[in-house]
Amino acid sequence: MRSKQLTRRALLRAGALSGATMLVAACQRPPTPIPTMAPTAGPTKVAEATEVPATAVPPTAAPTPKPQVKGTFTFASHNEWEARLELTKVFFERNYPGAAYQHDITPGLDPYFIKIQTQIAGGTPPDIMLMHETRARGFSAKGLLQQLDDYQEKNPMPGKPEEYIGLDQLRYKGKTFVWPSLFACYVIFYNKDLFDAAGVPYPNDDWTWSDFFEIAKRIADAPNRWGHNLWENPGWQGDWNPILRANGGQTFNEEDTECLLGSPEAIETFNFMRDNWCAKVVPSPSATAEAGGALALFYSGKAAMGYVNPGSLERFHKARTTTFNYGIVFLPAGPKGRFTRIGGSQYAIPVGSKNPEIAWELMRWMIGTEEAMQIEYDKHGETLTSRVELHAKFNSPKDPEVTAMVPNWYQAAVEQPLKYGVFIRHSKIGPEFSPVLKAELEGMADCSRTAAEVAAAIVQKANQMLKEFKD
Amino acid sequence: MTLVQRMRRAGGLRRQDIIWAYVLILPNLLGFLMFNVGPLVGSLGMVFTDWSIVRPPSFVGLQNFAKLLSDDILATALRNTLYYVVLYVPAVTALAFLLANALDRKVTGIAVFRTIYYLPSVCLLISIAVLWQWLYDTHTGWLNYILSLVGLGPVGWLSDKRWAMPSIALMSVWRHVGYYAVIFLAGLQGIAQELYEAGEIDGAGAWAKLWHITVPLVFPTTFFVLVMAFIEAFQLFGEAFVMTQGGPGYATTTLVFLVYRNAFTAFKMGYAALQAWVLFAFIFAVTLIQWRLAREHGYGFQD
Repeated sequence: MRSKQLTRRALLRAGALSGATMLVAACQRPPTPIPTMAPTAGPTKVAEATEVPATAVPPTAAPTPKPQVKGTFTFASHNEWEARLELTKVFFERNYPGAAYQHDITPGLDPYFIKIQTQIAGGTPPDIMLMHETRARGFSAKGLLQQLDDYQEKNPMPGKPEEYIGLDQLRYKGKTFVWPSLFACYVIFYNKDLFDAAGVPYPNDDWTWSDFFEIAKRIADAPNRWGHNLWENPGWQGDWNPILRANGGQTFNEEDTECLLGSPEAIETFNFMRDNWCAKVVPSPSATAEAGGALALFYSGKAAMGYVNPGSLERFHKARTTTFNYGIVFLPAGPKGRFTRIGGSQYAIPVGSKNPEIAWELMRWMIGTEEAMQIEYDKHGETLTSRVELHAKFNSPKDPEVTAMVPNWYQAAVEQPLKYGVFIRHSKIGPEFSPVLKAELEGMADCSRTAAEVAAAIVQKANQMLKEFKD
Repeated sequence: MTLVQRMRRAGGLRRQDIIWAYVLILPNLLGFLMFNVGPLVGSLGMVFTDWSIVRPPSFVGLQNFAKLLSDDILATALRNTLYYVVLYVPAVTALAFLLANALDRKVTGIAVFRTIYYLPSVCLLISIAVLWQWLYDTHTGWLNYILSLVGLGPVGWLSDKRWAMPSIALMSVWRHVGYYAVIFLAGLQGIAQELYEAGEIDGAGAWAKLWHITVPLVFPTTFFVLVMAFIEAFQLFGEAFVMTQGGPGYATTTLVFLVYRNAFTAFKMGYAALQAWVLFAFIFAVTLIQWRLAREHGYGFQD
């Protein structure tokens, strides 16, 4: 019997049919994930169980009736540490055993927020997201976040709202869209060894920004030495906003309709930065980045003064790449007073979240409860909680070497920020404005442009952006 | 007349074969329509809108065009891009040509040298950029170390506004010269050896042979390299994004960098699409001029 031969035409037909079948299969919707104990899919799966004492976490007060997790609960973050992997795991194991959850971590602020906006636009947002103070206003203004006031009314955060530092300042048009999760402020760390070598007395809490500049000049008058490490990224206002406020200036008006960086106070601030760059007491932003960043400049003992968050003191102590003695002092004062920037990340529930109630429940447990802070502290050695009265309890230095070196930690890291701390008035045009601000101010670092020219260019561009912004 | 029509006339294909031919190219055609033609047409429509992704696009007429004319950052980006083109294109073309001549030898191990020169063009841009950042480092980089040996420097290769763009151009030339040299090599190997032998009989030296035989005959390849290098230079993005983030100041902010920033930082999709079309117009105009010049000088290509 003659066997049937495979003709070229038949082969082509078979190929075309297989191709078409594959194409159709590829275009089909993926099957709905089956909720399991471990995350089933997603960019970053949750790690294996961490050791958490069974008694450490009592079940949180879940509302009645308890909502069910729809699909895979997604927690989006730009920061692995911030995502609080352990906390989510504990929360779900205690409250929603068997539910599927995942962390979607996208490193880098820009890529993260690009992704989030695209996800919201595409109708597939995460259930809860880490927010950044530079974006909070813009996201709130564009209506991308759920209002949290109703959740707060039904199932309030532990403690009083005023205990959460920055909550008032982060409200948009009187409504709450983000809830602060971190407390951070800045003080000046100074390298005592470099001060001693230059014969300069240590600064005290009465000093001014003029003193700061004079000290920096004296110390930088030596090879491979810098006076301080400020303004690595001048697009980040946190690095110069305290000087602007100390001069009596402000970034934007309260209605967020006008940029105020053309004011004499702002020009004075930019002049101060320019003077520092031109006197070579601090490297230009690009040169600082090239040297590994502002912190590396101070950690390595090359810069005499560092602009550092004192909440992470023990982490800083270990991170020094050369051993030197140091102290901390509050930021200098200006003609209109003394300020430091306070702030930190927040959490938000994006519009379109499939599990908003569970997101709120998770948020209130992570941000507000001491047991969650304890788990985080045990894992990371710090928990920079926005409940400022608990901040000191967890983060005050315990290492005797550190406490001996920094006896004034509580005063500098808690008391003074509460007294002098200000939130930066970030505009709704934040992400668009920041690169312009950076480029314009950085363009002044080589002393080729005056502060007034730069201020005028910034204001012109910012006001144009504000005009074009649509709520 | 299409190929299918010609083949049908010649009696080479039956109706059923033609249908199957279309079925077979359908997946590719669909992909082309969905991922090339669709976005292209979409972006053309987008230039008349204000679209932030999270809201439906709203028609704004010629508003984006008006903004384009008064955008001084765009003007700076355009100047920077042209500056890069001027630095990069002649350098990479000339060096690739010289390198190809050096590699066009029948010596032992020449394939190894060709591979070595080609290698940077297949390496990942990020790793190359990081490597060159180290070389360029003001305080610990090799370039400044070498300069210091002769009492010069230090130069802020990437941190000084004057040097940032030339530094990026230098790295790009190093990265791409091998690739273009291989293209030149193919052109050189297409030149008949008899022409050189005839030249030698007429008393031509090495320079005369290069100028009167090699350069004219390799022109189609040179033309191709020039067109490709121009297009590539106009699209500078990755190097500036990784090494300088468009700085210091606006020193390395290029057109594509600006398109990216407007689209994905400011979420001004309509305006970014218009800037992308401006970039296309520039590339198209330059390529057109190149074709015209080639034709006028008798090196035209047949359509």
